[in-house]
Order: sequence, then C-alpha cells, then structure tokens
Amino acid sequence: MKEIKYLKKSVKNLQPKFSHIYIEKRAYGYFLSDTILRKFSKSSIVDIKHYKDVFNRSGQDFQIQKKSMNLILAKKTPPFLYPITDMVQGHHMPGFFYTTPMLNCLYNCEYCFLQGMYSSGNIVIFVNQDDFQEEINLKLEQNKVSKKVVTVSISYNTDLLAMENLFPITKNWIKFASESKNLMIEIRTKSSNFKPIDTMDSNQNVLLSWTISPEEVSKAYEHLAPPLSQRISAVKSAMDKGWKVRLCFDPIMNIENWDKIYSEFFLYLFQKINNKKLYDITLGTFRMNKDYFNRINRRNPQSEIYYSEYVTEKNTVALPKNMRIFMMEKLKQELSKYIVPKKILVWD
Amino acid sequence: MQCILSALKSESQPFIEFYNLEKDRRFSFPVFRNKDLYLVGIGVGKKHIEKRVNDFIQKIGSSPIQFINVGLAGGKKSIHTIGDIFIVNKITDEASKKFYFPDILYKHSFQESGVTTVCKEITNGGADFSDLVDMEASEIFKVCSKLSSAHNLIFIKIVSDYMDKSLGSFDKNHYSTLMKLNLKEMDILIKNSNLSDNGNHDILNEYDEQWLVQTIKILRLTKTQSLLIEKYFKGKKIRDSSYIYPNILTNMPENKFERNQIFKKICEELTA
Repeated sequence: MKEIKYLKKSVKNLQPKFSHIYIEKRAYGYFLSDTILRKFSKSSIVDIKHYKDVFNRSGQDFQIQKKSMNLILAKKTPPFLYPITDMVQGHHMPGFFYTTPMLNCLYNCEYCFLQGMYSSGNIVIFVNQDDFQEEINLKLEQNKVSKKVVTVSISYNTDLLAMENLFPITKNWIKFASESKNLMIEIRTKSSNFKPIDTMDSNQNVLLSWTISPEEVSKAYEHLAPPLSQRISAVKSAMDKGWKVRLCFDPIMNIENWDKIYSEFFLYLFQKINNKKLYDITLGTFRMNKDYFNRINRRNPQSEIYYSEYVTEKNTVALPKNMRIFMMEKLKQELSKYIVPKKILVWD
Repeated sequence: MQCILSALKSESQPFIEFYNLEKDRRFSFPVFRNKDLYLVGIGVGKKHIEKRVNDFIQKIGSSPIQFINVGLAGGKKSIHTIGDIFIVNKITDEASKKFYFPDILYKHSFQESGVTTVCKEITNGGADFSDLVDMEASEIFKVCSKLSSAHNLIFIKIVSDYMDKSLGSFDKNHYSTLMKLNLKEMDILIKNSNLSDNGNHDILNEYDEQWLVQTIKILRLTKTQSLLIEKYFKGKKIRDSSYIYPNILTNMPENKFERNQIFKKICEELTA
C-alpha cells in the first residue's frame, strides 16, 4: 500500500489548530459562539462582516489550511434545508434533505468531495442552530396530515460527532429529534467519539451512520480519521445502547486486490458486530461531482486517486460503469452472507 | 523564494545590512538580493506597487514566492506604544471599504492587529481609525494575492508614530532604529515561514518533466494523449516516488498506429 508522503513531509512551524477565530458581528451573543470563544480564549479573534469574505476568498491553499485549521463563526441565512444530492443512496426518496450546521471537517480524506466543494480548509460553524431546526419544524408541520417522515442528514458536509467535544452540536440535534414526530435525522461520521452521546437515551428518530473502511483503505486515504478498531468499538457501543446504526462502505476504493481486501474486511467486521442489530448498509464506489473533481485536479493534488481512469456521466466522475457494476455486484453478494439484501442500498 | 517589500529606504536599509543583500542592477527601482531572498523597494503609498511587483516577477519568473511586507504604521496613543510590532490579520482599504485577510498559518511571537490602508498621511491623531494605519498594505495584498496564496502574504507592522503632528515628527534614524530593534524577531518569522521548508513540492521532478516533454514531442502525442500520460505519470510517482520514467524506447514512430502502440505500452507501465 502506498505511503502518504505529502502528509509525512512535516509542515514545520505552523500554528496550532484554531489559532484564529473569525466571527461575524451578528454571530456574537449566541450560546455556541460564547461556548467556543470561552473554549478557545487564547485564539486571535478577527471580526468579519460575512463568513464568505474569509471562507470563499480566492488564493487559499486548502491542504495547508487543513494542517492549521481555523474557525469561522457565522449566522446562517435561509435556505437551511437542501434536497439530498444524487450522490447519496436513496436520494430519490421523498422528504430526504440535508442541512449544514457546519461546513468542512476535522479529517482530511483524500477522496472527500469537500476539498472540491470549498476553496477553504477552515471550518465554518453556524451558531444559529435554532433557525435550522425551526425550518425543519415548518417542514414537519407541512407534512402533519400525511404524516410523511422527513429525513434530514445533518452531518453531510462535516463530521459533527468527531468535533462534539469541541463544539457541542450533535447532542442538541439529538435532543431536537427526540422531541419531534415524523422526523429522522442521520448523523454521518467516521469518528470513534461516541462517549459524548453515550449518556443520552437512544432515540429511534436518530440514525447514526458510520463510514467504515478496511484498514488498508483507512490508512492510505482517511487521514486523521480514527483507525478501524476504534470505529468498530464505537459502532458496537452505539448498537449495544439501542441506537439505529447504518454502516456506510462508501466509497469502495478500486485498489489492488479490492475483492480480497473487502471480503476479508466484511468477514472481520461481522465477527465483531451483531449484524442483526444493523439498520442497513450503504455501498458505493468512488464518485464525485465533476466540478469538484476538476477543481481538486487543478490544485495538483498529491493523491493518486485523481490520476486514475474515470468516466464522466451526466455531472458525475465515476469508475467506468462495467467496472463499478462488477464491483458492486461482487461486494453485494459478499455482504449478503451477513445481511439481508434488501438492507443493502447501492449507489450504481 | 521570499521577497521583502518595504516602502522607505530607512525601512529597507536595516534588512539590506542584516541579510547582506546586494543591489540587483537589472531593475530601475530598488531591488536587492542574496540567493533566494529579495527586497523590493515599493515606494510610499499605492501608486508604484503594482508595476514594481509585476516587473520584478516578470524578470525573476520563479514561483512559488512569499511576499513579506515590513513597514511602519501609525498607532493610537491610547492602545499602542511606539516600537510595538504586529502581524496583520485584517486589512481594510479606506477608499474602497474592502477587507483583505492574510492567512496567518506560520507560528510567530508577535501581537496581531488589523490595519487600515489610507491614501493620505493622517496627522490629526487618527480618531477615525480603530487599528493601525498604513499606506501600502491593501494594495500589496490586492497585487500579490494574484501571485501567491493567502498564507504566503505576510504583513509585519511596527508602530512608528501616533499620527499626530502636534506631538512632533521623527527623522530617518528613528525609523531605522525601530526596524533594527525588531530585526532578530522578524528574522525568526522569515526563516520559519520559508517556503522551501514547508512541504511545497511538485509531483514530477525536473528529469520527469524533461522526459515527459521529450516523449510528447518525439511520439507526436495528441493533446488528449499528452494529458493522459502526464496524469498517469503523476499517479505512478505518488504511488512510488522512487520510480524513474518508463524505460521504453521512444524512437520517432513511423505512423499513427505505431505511435498509439508505444503510447499504450507506456500507459500500461504507468498504471501498473
């Protein structure tokens, strides 16, 4: 497996994470702002007019910023809910949305679309979380008669659970979901940080979705994310406490011996966790919005992922169709040894 | 490569002496150099900055480059002391009301401050300004951000006066002394932020690039083939940095079929 040379090359003399906090004037006075400013009392505070003045600046170096991330505290204005993208399994389901309490992630996965979506490696936290939840309440109100379930992925452009110790947002959303009817929130994560929500009662309106990869893939591509063993341990804890848990084998990477590596990984994983308790599984090969992919490519990325062979279908860069269908069929078949096929959602 | 930008001779001279910089006579404006470290005199105010920086880049032609603006700034008597040194984290252009934000990613031991760039000297105490005041920073950011990333634009300001004529004026020696007093600390930051130490590197080295250019030329590859071969070569080098370019004879092909066969063979090796 390849070495991650660009990360091993130490970038000397950089500031520690969150050495600077940029804050919109209108973001002062919120609970989250106060908590964060108290927690990072030694950081330099820079007042800004609008978060985009900093976050969307031209000439930022995404990768070097990731090594010395800063925070931007802002107040989000509508819209608060977006229809889920067609990159996500089940995107055709009615009432499936995502929302953005935070932009960007602590981790730095090589395959992640965020590096193409955003020009900045810094993290934006929207401090008016109540306004997001108010919009969801309005949506639920509209569906009151039909009682249709509204599903909202709240950690699609970030990893909220990974940062829960620093920025207490997940708990607040779980509390909100537990008090709502006909709402399901999905919390995507690669974190092993289950502890902050361990004391909460599990709730059926909350789906904890762990992205989990073979050690080979994790080591090569999922920089700063916890190792497989720790993620499995968090998954087990959540399942034991009665939480709904989804496992996301996504993206499946087309690495050498992928079939053997993933088959052995599934075998190992399902020896550790109780497959009967799983809510479902998602499966998909590497893919990315064409514009994001091209933007990453223009930055001369130090990742082999961006120098491989892909096809562009509609607006998506993906593995050639025959290849990805072959991979998905093979792995779905493999997974069917452990879980009923109807619980396996595939992006193809 | 690093380039110090300063307005006054009294600001430049201490650096010229400290770093043993020698005059680069290719330029009609002050440019001094010692190896990869340059100093460019940009004059007072905004008017010469764009032309001088662009002329400098055109002749030097090297990238990436880090710009370090070192200069004096007016401070507020209530909050600053003459000689205080700051790294600038926010620049406000008084005329356009635009904001600029240098990325402060390198460790430093200074205080931080915002600076407002004005067009005319302020002599009334600067009651209208909450931070430091200078006459170049916003223009430097505007011009240099087209040439370098936001973290490679560093602004160091030393408080030289209180923008109040009634408190008297200072001579050149005063300005030079303020610079000299802070030189050692500034030197640490300049060395710490040196690009060559910070992991900036290309995937293909000089020899790889040469091989690529020659191969494309000899084989008369199409644009698409050229891009593809470059892409695969970079992927290979990331997977194996010790890899040396494909050992496949690249004689001039006699026809397109032969060219495509060689191209295919090279691609197979690069993607293996």
